[in-house]
Formats: sequence, structure tokens, C-alpha cells
Amino acid sequence: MDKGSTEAADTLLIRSCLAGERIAFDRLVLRYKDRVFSLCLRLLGDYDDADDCAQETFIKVHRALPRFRFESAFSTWLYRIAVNTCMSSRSSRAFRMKKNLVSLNGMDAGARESLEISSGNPHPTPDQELERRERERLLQEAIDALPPDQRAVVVLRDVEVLSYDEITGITGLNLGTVKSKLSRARLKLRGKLEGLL
Amino acid sequence: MDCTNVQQLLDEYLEGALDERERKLVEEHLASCGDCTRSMAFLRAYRREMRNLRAVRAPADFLRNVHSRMRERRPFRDLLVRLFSPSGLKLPLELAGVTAVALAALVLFGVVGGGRDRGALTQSRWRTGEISRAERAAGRKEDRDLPPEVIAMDLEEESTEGSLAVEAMPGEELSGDEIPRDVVPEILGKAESPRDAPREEPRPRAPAGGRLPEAYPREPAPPAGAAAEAGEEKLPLREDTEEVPAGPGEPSPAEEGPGMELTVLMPQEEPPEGSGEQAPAGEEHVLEVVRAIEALGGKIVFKEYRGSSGGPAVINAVIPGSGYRMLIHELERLGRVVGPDGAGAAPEGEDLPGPQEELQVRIRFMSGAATGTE
Repeated sequence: MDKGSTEAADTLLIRSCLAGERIAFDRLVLRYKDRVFSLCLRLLGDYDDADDCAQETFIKVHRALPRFRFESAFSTWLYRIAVNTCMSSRSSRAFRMKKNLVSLNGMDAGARESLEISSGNPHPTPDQELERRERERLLQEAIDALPPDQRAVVVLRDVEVLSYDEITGITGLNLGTVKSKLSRARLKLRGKLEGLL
Repeated sequence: MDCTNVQQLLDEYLEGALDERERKLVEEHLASCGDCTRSMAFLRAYRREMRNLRAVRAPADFLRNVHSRMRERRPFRDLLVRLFSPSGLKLPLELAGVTAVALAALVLFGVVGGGRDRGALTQSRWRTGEISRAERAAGRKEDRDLPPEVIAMDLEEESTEGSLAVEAMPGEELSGDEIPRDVVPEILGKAESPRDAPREEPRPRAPAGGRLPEAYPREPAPPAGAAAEAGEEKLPLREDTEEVPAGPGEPSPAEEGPGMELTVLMPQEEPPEGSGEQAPAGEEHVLEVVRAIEALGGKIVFKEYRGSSGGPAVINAVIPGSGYRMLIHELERLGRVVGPDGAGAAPEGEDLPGPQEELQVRIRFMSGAATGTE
């Protein structure tokens, strides 16, 4: 489905939702839950926190939907709320305390297995799977070590593969600032990942 | 073109987003610069690795958890709706907040004598606006995460409206009219049982499915929706979707086996001017009941609006026994409900279906005058 028809479908669902069709909101959630969850996971580096923030994002969307003015794509608006929710969550005291106690390695096995991160090989051997997970852990750790503003830009651009236009819409930053943050972030990541890649 | 310029263009070069002239300049530079070549090799590998991180699925019960969380947040709002909505009383958000805090203090600390001083202090702070600001600050905490234009709209609305019917969640301003229609059943949902529901008239009519114990026990069947017509991808509408048979030609519960036949005697409305006829039962009433049944966890087997075949509106449904009383209560909001023998429809004692039992119901909507002749 191309971008235009996705936006048209979103608009229809939003209007149905505003007209009282509860099912329309559920459809919006189902359309975007994986993308929002993925974004939250990359921004937070923690499965439970990502689940929590992704749910919170949709609750906020539900509440604010009557005030959505269709001035941007719904997905941009949704991502913006998700990014802000994650940033608020990361700065909360509870999150920092938890981070001190539980590292990414502490992510429980069940949660990890349910991540279902795609890889080129659909049937990896145990060794390949182990290696993939290790690479993923190192990448996530490197992302986690970035300052929040750079992390958001990196995740939106390099993980979610959004356009610069979309990123400026989501972050509220201008194009030059986005590129500058991205450049600095990549430089830091290169220092951490050069041996890995 | 120097290294700095080339480094800035590498991303777009790899995307193929550069024009012909820029692409050639970058390639010429790369051919002669080891640092930039290594940068590009890293960037290429880096992009591939990062994009491999993309496909992460949300937990299977994500939607259900969103619903649960939405329900969990509403008990206090439920209480205020029950307290103030029937009387149409509107309270400013700050006053509602202060009242809640005062009540909590009274309950927790048993403030009676000494509490007067604290109460006076509270009143004083209220007058000076200190509490108002604090409450607002707390209330705004969550809204920091919303885009600024939404927050700005909130502030505009707040400055012009001033009073609210319902205690809002932190960061949320909701009056009765502002509550999204699909939220209202949840807000009102857990508030009342049929026994304690106020019956006096007039009272505001909740949107369809309102005043039921479980607002989200299961999602209704998808609308034969505009979204689908627009070529939207078909998505599961719930994580454990059930097929619900529906449509004309379905056997009525009476044909299938034992069930309950209910007739709703609708108040006679003013006939359309000059028609000389009685106004038909509205489609909206049927839809209200349909939604209520779905909210109760029931399935609509068949429905017909008045006028489609000249007869009365009819709904055939299967509901859980535990929802029977709720259904009766919902129907009573529309009119008097009678059983097949013309007696009241609310069974007592042994006549009540068991909570786990599936009950087939056939509901007919009749005008008061029409039923008088039956």
C-alpha cells in the first residue's frame, strides 16, 4: 500500500473513530502497534518499558484524537507522541532507577523470543542466532549510549528508515539540525561499532 | 569537493538521492580518498545492520492491554459521572480536584477538629489560586508528550470553557460533550448495576452500549466499512476474532430453540407533521441495543429496522446469561419492556439464566400505541 492510500485509510479510520466507531480505533492500533512498539523498544532498550510506552502512546492518541487536525500524516503525529512519551519515560526517576538495576542483558528469555527480529536467514542455526542476538545487543547498547536527542534521530532515520521530512515533522527540529545530530550520532556509533561491522 | 562535503552527502549517495552532478563528484572523491571510502563502507554496513533491527512485533495481547489500561484509569471518573452527571451539575476541574483531596484527607487522617484549620488553609490556598496552579501543573504533566499544537488547543479550550462535567485524567480536559463517543461506554461502563441505576426522568441518554458492566468484553463485528472500500489491507479486528453469523435468513432464536422474547414498548413520539402517522422506532434505538448487546459479549444473529419490511424493528441475539439483567436495563431506557405474556421481563430467582448460560433473545420494538392493539 503506498503512502497516499495509507494516509487516506488512516483518515477514514480516524473519522470513523471520531464518529463513535470504537472498532476504528482498534484498527488504528492494530495497524500501527508493531511500528510504535518497535520504535519504543529502540528508544528505550527495554521490552517492558517499550510495551508500557507504546500502550501509553495509544491511550494518549485516543484521548487527543478529537483534536487531531489532519495537518500532518497521522503516522507522523503518532510517532511524535510516541517519541515524546519515550523521552519523558526515560527521564523519569523510576526509569533511571530501573536502568541501574537491570541491564539489557536482563531482558527475560520469553520477551526476547517474542521480539522476532527479522534477519536475512529465516532458519538460522543456533550459532547464527546467538551471533545475531549478540550483534543486536551491541547495536542496542550503542544506541542507548547516545544522548536522547541523537538517539531519537538515529532510530527514526537509521532503524525506522523515515524520510528527513518525516523526521523534522516528528521531532520539530529543522532539517539542518536533524542532519547535524545524525552526523554526530553516527560518528559516536562508528567509534563503538567499528569492530563489529 | 572536500571530505566534509562528501561525508555529508554519503547518506544520500547510498540512497541514490543525489543528482547526476553530485553523484559524479562524490564518486571522484571516493576514488581518491581512503578515509571517505572507509566511511562509506562503514555507513553501508551500519545501515544494513540498523535496518535489520526493524521488524519487532508488539506483544500478542497488546490491544487487549490498551483496552484494559483505558478501563483501569476511569474508576474516579466513573464516580464523578455517577455523582454529577444525572443532576447536570458541572464542576471546575480545580474544585473537583480539591474536593477529592479533601475527601481523601478526611478519610485517611480522620480530620474532624484539627481538620478545620487545614480546611481553612485549603480554602485560603484555593482563593489565592495556589492549588489551581499546582493542580494544573500536575494535570499538564502528561500533555507534555502531546504535540504542542494539541496542547495549545487545550489551553484555548480551557480558557474559554472554564467548567467541566467530569474529573479529567491528568493532562486531560473532558466535558460531557468532549468525551469521545466511543469512550463514554467505558467511562460509564462499570458505574452502575441495573439495581442501583437511577431511573428518574428525564436523564441524559448515554451513547450506545453505555451503562454496562464491561465496556470492552469483546469488540463488535467490523463495519462493512468505508475503510475496506477504500482498498485498505484487511487486518484482524481483534486478536482472537470470532466469526459472528449475521444477516437476513438466519433462523430466529424461537425457531432454533428456547429463548426469551421481549417487546420494548417505545414511548409514542410526535408524528411527522401532516403525515397523520405514528413516528417509527428510530434506527438509532436499534443500533443502541445492538451495541449494548455486543458490549455485553453477545452476538447479533439478525436485525431488522422498522420500515425495511413494514413490520416492527427486531433484533435476534445470543447473550451470556450474566448479561440478561443488563440488557433489560438497557432496553428499559428506551421504553417499557414486557415478556411474551405481556408481563414484566425481568425474571427473578430460579427464572434467571445462569451466568455461563447462553440465552437467545428476540427483541421487538413497538410503539406504545401499536402494542396496545396486540
